[in-house]
Amino acid sequence: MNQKDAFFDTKYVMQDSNTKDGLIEEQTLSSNGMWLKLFSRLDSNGKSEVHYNVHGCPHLIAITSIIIGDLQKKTIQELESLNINEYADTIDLPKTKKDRLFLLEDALKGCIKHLKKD
Amino acid sequence: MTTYLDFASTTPMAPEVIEKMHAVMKEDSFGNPSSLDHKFGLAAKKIVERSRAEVADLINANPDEILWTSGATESNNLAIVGFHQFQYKNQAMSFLTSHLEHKSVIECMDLIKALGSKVSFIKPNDKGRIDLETLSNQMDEDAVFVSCMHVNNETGIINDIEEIGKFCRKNEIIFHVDAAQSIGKIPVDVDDMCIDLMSMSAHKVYGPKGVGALYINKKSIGRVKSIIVGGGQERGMRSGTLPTHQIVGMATAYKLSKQRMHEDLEHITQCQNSFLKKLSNLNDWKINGSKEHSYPGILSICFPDLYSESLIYAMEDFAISRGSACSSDHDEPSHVLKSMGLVDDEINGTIRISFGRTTSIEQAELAASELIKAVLHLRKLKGCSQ
Repeated sequence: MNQKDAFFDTKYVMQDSNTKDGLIEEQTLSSNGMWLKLFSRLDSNGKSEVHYNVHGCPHLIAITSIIIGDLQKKTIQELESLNINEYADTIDLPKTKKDRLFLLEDALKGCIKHLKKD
Repeated sequence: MTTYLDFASTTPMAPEVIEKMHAVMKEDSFGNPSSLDHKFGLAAKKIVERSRAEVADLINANPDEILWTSGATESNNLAIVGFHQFQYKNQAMSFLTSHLEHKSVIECMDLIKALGSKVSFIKPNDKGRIDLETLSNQMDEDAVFVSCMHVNNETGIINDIEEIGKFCRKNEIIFHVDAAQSIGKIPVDVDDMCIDLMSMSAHKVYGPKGVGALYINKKSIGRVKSIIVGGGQERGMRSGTLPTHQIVGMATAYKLSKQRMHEDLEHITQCQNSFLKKLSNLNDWKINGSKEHSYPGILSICFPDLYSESLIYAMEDFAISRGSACSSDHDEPSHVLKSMGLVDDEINGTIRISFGRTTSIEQAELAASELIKAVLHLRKLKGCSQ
């Protein structure tokens, strides 16, 4: 998926964050006001279901959309092996915006931690 | 096809301007307007002087009060630094300007401050205008120079130049106006407004880039020192070979603007009204500044819950901007909006939409519809239920 398509894609967007329906919420914030919320759970087969809400620049929105798409139906081990940094090239993320990946990385780590507990 | 809605940044050249410039470049007027020993130079000189008269006519000035420059930035530099250089004789001098000004005014003020002069920056009111009362309260007995912009490039707010000008004239203070965003769009009369120095640009009113002018009233001509030296052109005030084709382009644009001012203003007001009417269906946004005292061609709209960069990205078929063109490639927040008291979220969520002569009502309405779609999309991403 290219940057534009990813920016407009809403397939895994959490429609109403008040209705969590068993999903565990993990939120990360950046110093410049951007934020990311991941909502996740494991199904009966131990496979992931992840949704998100995001507020920030177009690059953060696009890369979140792409990565969240790749987080679906994964085991915890598969989620742990995911290298967020490899996504930088998929949308030509400018070097000055590298911190967007850290935001995603932190959110994913938090999400995995919750899923392991669950 | 992308619709251009960034007329405050620059405007496309009017076909009449291109035609005139093309003709000058092709004809025998390619000569150096300072080479008066042959017909080529004389032809160019004639065009330059005719153009000077046309520019002067738009602002009710005398042609010999118009000095060609490379644009409003250079004019601001010449007005402020040139005045400071001429006047400065180790005596205390106090300059006043506002936080609303273009960087070329602010940085010139910083420069003369570093050279020892006192510079005071006036804060605008919450509507984004300069109050005369605030200005007069901040003025001390050493005040010699006031610089105030006419129309703000980020918000479209119009300052009451006539009121400030009359006050400065009464107190024998030199009054400089950056009129880059107002010339050719709303009436400007240097006499009625008691202006001593005024910076002008061509490309904001359908003229070419790279040319502008500084109006220096007769009484002030001897009080500004050249900051570019070399060939002694423009009576020694601004050296450098005059670009005849650009000058004729500027004059044609100004002449056209004078003829069309009323019609343009009416049309642009209609564009703004249509746009705002459509946008009124949307919640949680505001206009920065006051609609009452503003030029309708520039709209600064704030969505405090959103990121302007994403709004602009979402409106892919429209060329709009975050703020001024001069600061939109920097990440620092707008100094203008900050001085008006906007908080970071409001500044980060501000976009500027500017209409022009070639904008159609349909385009303005479509832009509002697309903006609504973009806002709803971004709010959906945030998980906000509409």
